[in-house]
Amino acid sequence: MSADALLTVENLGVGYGDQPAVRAVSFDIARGRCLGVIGESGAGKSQAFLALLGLLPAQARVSGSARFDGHELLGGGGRSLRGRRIAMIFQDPMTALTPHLRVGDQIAETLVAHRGVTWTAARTRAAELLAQVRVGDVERRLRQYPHELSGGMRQRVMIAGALACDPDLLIADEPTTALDVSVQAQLLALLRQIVAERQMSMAVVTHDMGVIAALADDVVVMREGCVVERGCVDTILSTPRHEYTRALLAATPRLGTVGSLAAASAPPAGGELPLAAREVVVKHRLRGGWRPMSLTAVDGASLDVCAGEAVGLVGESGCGKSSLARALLRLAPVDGGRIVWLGRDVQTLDAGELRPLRSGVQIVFQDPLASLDPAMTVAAIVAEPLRALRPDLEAGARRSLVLRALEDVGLDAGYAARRGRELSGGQCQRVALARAMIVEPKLLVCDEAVSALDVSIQAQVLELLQGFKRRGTGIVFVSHNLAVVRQLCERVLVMYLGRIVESGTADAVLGTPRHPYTRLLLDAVPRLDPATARARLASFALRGDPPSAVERPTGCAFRSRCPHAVDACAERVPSLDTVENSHQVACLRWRELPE
Amino acid sequence: MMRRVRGASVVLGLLTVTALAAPWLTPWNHEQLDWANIAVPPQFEGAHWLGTDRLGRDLFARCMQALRVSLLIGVLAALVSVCIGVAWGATAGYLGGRVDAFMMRFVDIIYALPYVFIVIILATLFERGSIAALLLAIGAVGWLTMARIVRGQTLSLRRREFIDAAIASGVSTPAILWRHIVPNVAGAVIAYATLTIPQLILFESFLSFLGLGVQEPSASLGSLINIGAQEMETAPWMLLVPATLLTVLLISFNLLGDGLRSRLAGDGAAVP
Amino acid sequence: MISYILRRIAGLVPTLFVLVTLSFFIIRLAPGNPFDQEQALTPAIRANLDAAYGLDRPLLEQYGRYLAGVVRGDLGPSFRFKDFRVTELIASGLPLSLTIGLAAAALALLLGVPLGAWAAWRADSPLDHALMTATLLGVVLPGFVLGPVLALVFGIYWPVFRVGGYEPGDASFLVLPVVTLALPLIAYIARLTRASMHEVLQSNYVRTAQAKGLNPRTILLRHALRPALLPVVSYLGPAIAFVVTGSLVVESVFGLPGSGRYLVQGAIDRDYSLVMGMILVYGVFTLACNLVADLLYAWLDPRVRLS
Repeated sequence: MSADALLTVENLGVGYGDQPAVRAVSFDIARGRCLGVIGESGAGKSQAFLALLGLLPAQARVSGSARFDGHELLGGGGRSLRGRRIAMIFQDPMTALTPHLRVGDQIAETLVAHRGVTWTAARTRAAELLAQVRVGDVERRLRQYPHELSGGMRQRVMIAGALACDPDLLIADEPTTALDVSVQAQLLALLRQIVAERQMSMAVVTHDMGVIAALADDVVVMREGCVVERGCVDTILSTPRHEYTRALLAATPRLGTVGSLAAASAPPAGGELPLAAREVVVKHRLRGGWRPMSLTAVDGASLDVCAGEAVGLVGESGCGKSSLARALLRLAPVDGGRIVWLGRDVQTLDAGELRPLRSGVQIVFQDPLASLDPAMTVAAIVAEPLRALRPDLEAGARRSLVLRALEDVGLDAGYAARRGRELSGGQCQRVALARAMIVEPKLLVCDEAVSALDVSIQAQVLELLQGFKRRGTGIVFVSHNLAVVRQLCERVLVMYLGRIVESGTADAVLGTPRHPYTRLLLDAVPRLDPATARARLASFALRGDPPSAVERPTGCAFRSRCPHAVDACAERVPSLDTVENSHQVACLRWRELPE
Repeated sequence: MMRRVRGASVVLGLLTVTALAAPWLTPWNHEQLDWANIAVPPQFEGAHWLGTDRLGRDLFARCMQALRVSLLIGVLAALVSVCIGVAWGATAGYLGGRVDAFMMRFVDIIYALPYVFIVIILATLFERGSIAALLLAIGAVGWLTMARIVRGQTLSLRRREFIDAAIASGVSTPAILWRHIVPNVAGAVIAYATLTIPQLILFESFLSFLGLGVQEPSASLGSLINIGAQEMETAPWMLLVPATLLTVLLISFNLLGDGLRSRLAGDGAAVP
Repeated sequence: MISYILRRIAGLVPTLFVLVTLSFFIIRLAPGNPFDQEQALTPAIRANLDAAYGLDRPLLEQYGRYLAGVVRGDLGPSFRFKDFRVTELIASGLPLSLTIGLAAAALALLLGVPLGAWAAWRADSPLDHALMTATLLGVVLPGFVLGPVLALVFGIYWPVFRVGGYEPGDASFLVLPVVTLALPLIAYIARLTRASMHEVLQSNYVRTAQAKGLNPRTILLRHALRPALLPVVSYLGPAIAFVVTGSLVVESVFGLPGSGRYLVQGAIDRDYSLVMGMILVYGVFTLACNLVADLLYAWLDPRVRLS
C-alpha cells in the first residue's frame, strides 16, 4: 500500500444472510487521484462504497477494515465523516433529491450541519457552488424544486451539494448512467475539471468503460463481489491481463470498429420491404381527463427499410425515435402523414385486416422483465402470436414451432415451463426475441432492445440480431448508443425533437457527419483510449440538456444548442438536403461548415 | 406472516363450522323462550353455554344464527362488489382517456360522501330488514374501493410492455383483458376482497345496531351488541359475547387479507 | 393558489347538486310516506296534510321548490317534529356533533402520526411490533363495541367519567365519546404513517441526506416527514366520512343530543325533509374537509401545486 494513500480498504466483505455481496475486497485511493471501479450488475461495486459510509441497510453484515486518513470507517466510524470529508453522489438524480425541498436549501443544509453557519450565509455559498458546477441563472435555480429541473441540472445540484464542505474524497456511484450521452459528456468534463482544480480524490463506480477512460487514474475491475484485476488506467484499457477484463473490453462496442456486424460493403440483397413511412406525425396526449394537451413527438419523419438491412434510429431521450418506431406497428397514434404496409395505410385497417401487419412486423422492447407477462410461462408467451395469427395451427405443431423458436435464440426446451421472473435480463430478452420471430416477420423493430443489458449480454443479443438479418429480416434499431448502432446498422437516421436531421449510410453519417448535432453526438460518445477521451471532453462544445418537445425553438429546433447557429436558423425549418447519394442533412449552413 | 395467515384461516374455519353446526350443538334455537332461565349468565344448567337474554332466549343459539347472517352477508356482498368493481375498474383503466375520466369522476363523487348516507337512503327504499336489500345496498357501496384498486392496477399493467407486445402480436382487446389483465389483477382482487368482507360485515352490524338492518326475531351481531349495550349494567355477558365474537371475526379476516395481499398483490398495492 | 382554491370550490357545486338530486328522487320514489305511521287518518285529514306539505304537487315541482329553498338556506318543515323547521333541528344538534367529531379527528392526528413515525423509525423492534398489534385491534374494533365497553368500564365499574345524557358545559360527558370515536382513527392513521414512513426512510433521497452527514432528527423531520404524510392527508377525506358515520353510533351509545340521531330517526320515519337536510349538511361538511385535505396535499407536495 502506497504511503500517500488517503483511503486504504482491506478485506472488505459485505453479506446478506449467507449471501456474500462483496468478498475480501482490497484497494486504496491515493491523494489527488481518481479510482475507477468497473463491473457488471451484481459485481458488488456500489455495495462496497455504501459500506464505507455506513449507508447499507441494517441487515447487511460488513467485515474488514477501511482506514481513511487515520480513521477507521467501518463499524460506524464512517458516519462522522459523511458530507464533511467524504461526499457521495448517486445514479438517479430524480429520486436522490428530496422532492419537497428547494434545491438551494438542499445544498445549503450540509453547510449548516457541518460548518455551523447561518442559513443566509449557507445560501450565499450555495449560489457560488451552483455557479461552479456551471449552472446559469443561479438565483432562480436556488428557489426551484427538483422536479422543475432537467436530469443533467439535477445531477449538477447533487455535485454542488457534495462539494459544499470541500470533502477530501468524492464517491460518484454511476454518476452519468441515467443521463443522455451529450449531458453525460458535459458532466464527465465537469467532474474531471472539479477534481483537478480542488486536488480532491475521487472514486467513480461504473459499468461503462467509457466513463473509466474519461475519469479514472487507477482502475479496479470487479466481478461477483471480487476484485479480478487492478492497475493504472492505460494498462487496463490497453493490455488487460485478466480474461474477464478482456472479455468486457471486447464486448464494449466502439465507434472505431466499422460495422463489425453490419454488411459493410454488400448492398442488401432482398430489395425494399413493403413498408413506407411518409412525413409521419405522432402526437401524445399529455394529460388524460377532460382537457387533453398534446405534445408532438414525431414531426414529419420518413423511413424505408430493405430486407436484411438494419436501420438505426438514433437521438437523445425525447427525440421521438421510439414513437416513430412504435407508430410503424400502430402502437402509437399517427396524426399526420402515412405509414403503408403492403400497400395499405395501416391507420385505416380495421381489426380483421390487421393480420398481415401483425405477422409482418414485430417488436422487442427495452425492459426485458416488463416485456413478459408475469402470469404466463415462457412457452405460452412465445406461443401467443401463433394463437392470435395462426389459429388453425394444431397444438402439437404449435409446440414444436415454439421449441424451435426458443432454440433459435439459444434457449433449450427446459426454459419453456419457466416464468419471466425466474430468468435473467438477457434470457428475458431472448424470450421476447423468440416471441417476435416465431411468426417470421419481414421487419423487426428493436426499441432500445439491448440498452438495459450488461455489455457481455448485449454483445450476445446483437449477435442474434445479426443472424436474423442474414436470413433476410429487416431491422429498425432504435438506440441512444451510437457505438452499438455503428456495429449493427447499415443505415442511420439521426433525430432531434421529432425531426430527422441527418440520414444516410452508417459510413457516411457516422464517418463524415454533416449536421452539427450528429458531430456533437459523435464527440460525446465515450472513447476507450484515455488520452482521446480526455481531449474530447475538454473541447466538448454541446451545452445544455435536450429541450422537451413542449418548448421547441422556432425554426431549426437545434439552434438553441448549436455552436454554429445564426439568426436565419430561427426563421426557417431546414428541410433535408442531399449531400451525396443517399446522405441527407437538414441544416441551413451545412455547406459552410468545415468538413 | 404465514403463521398469522394460517392461524386466521383456522379460526375462520372453526367459526364457520360452529355457526353451521350450531343447531346440533345446542337444544335451543334462536327464537325459543326459556321461562325458567331469564337473563342468566353462561351456565351448563339448562344448556345455556353463553347465557340467555331478557326474554330467556339462548345467547349461543342467537349468536350462531347472527354469525351465519354476518358471514352470508359479508361474503355475498363482497362478491357483488368484486363483480361491479372489477368490471368498472378494468374498463376504465384499460380504455383510459375520457371514458376513464368520466367513470372515475363518478366514483369520486360517491366516494366523497359518507357512505352511510347511500346505504341509509337505499335501506329506506326497501322493506326494513330484508336481507336481499341489505346485500344490494352494502355491495353497491363496497365496489368503489375495488374499482379504484383494479383501475390503478390496470393502468400500471397497461404501461407494461408485454401489453404492447400482445397488441403487436395481433391479440384482440377482449382477449388482452381476459388473458393478460385479469390474471394479473386477480391476486390483488382476491386479497382486497378478503379485506372487504370484514368491512361489509362491520357495516351490516352497524346498520343492525342502528335498527336499519336485520329485524327481530332474527339477530345479527350488531343488533345483539345493541341489545347488550342496553343491558350491560346488569347482564354484561349479553354485550361481551357478541362483541368478542365480532372482534375475533374481523381480526381474522383482516389478518388473512393482509397476508394474502403481501403475497399476491405485489407492489403498487401498498395500502395499510 | 387563490384561483386554484376558487376553482376547487366551484367544482363542489356540481357534486352537491348531484347529491341533492339523487337523494331527493331516491327518497321520494321509495315506498312509504311520512304519515303512514299515524293511526287512522281519515282521507280528508290525509289530503289536508299532503296539501300542507306540498306532497300533492307533481314531483318535479316539489323538487323545484326544494331546490329554491336550499338556495335560500331553508331546508323546509320537518314532517315528524311538526312545529320545527329542519334548519332549527339541525342547528340545535350540530354544534355538539361538530365538537365531538373535530376533537376526535384532531386527537387522532396528534397521536396517530407520531406513533406511526416512531414505529417506522424503530422498525422491527419490539416497540414496533407491539404498536402494530395494538393498532390492528384498534382498526377492527367498531365504535359500537368500543363505546359500550368503555362506558361499562369507565362509567359504571370505575366511574371516572359521566355517561348517559349531556349537561351543556360539562366536558366530562364528552371524554368517552371522543375517545371512542378517535381510537380506531388513531390506530388507522398510525398504521398508515408507519407504512409510508417506512417506505420513505428507504428512499434514495433519505440515503442522500444520510450521505450528507445530517443528524437523524433532521433527516426525519426535514426530509422524511412531509412525503410520509401524503397518504395520511389523502386519507383525511375518508377519515371525515368515518367520523360522521361514527358520530351516529357514539351519540346513540352515550345518549348525546347531537344531530346524528336525526339522520337515523328521519330514515326510519321517512321524514323526507329531515333526511335530506342532514345529507345536505353532512355532505357540505365532508366536501369542505376533502377540499382542505386537497389543499394540504398541494402544500406538502410541490409537484401537484401547479397542475
